[in-house]
Amino acid sequence: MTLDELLAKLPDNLKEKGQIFGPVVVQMTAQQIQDWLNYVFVGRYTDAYRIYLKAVGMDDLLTEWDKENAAWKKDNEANAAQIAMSNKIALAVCQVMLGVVLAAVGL
Amino acid sequence: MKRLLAVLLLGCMVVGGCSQLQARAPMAAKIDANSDAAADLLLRTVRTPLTDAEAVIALNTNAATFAEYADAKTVNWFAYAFGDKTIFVNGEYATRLDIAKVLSVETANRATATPPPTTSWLNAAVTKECTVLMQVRAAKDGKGDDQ
Repeated sequence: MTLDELLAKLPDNLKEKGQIFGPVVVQMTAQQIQDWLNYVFVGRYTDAYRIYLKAVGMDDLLTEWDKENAAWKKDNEANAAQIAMSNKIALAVCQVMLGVVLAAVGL
Repeated sequence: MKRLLAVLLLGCMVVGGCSQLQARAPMAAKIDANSDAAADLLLRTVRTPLTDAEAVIALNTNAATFAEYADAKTVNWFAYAFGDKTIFVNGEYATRLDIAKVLSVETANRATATPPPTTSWLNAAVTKECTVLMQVRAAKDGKGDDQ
């Protein structure tokens, strides 16, 4: 099957994803596709990803690392923002509590 | 009331500032050391490209490192606090570590496949993997970007 044939069979809402993953999917053997589906159906996504990686080209493998790097960066930024927010909340609560404690001991 | 205040204070002290990727010794020190080594390798790669043999060794080392991280991680706090798991992560970071493991193994396999990849491909792969190794440390330290 060619990429054009695959794209023609996809519904409109999946055509964009088809452009991204289609070139790799058409390279996959029937066995690889069957294994991939089996892993996806039982929720073993890491194993499914391993099958997918075997079909990607050399340059696409480097692109996968770029995607991975971007995902780490995004997660780290979210993580840092969450830490900053929880620190602010903790500080605010501690400041209020300090006033309460000082009042309780009569200072 | 006093107990409630004490619990609130303790809760704030515990929850405040916790990263979604935590590691306990000796894994924490290992993550730092691996990140430092990755930074050194990156600098070296910028100055002079690695030879094919050096790059293959680096890719195999990185694959072992990512596998170690992925195998040591857990999303279960009790397994982290009382079990043998040394990295505690949320679901997002668990996925990241699993993907990095699989990706690094495939990259190491391609590095030694026939026909062998070009030197520039090998160097690019090392550079990208090293960057992710540094990101793991940034995650542990709760930093937004460690580029």
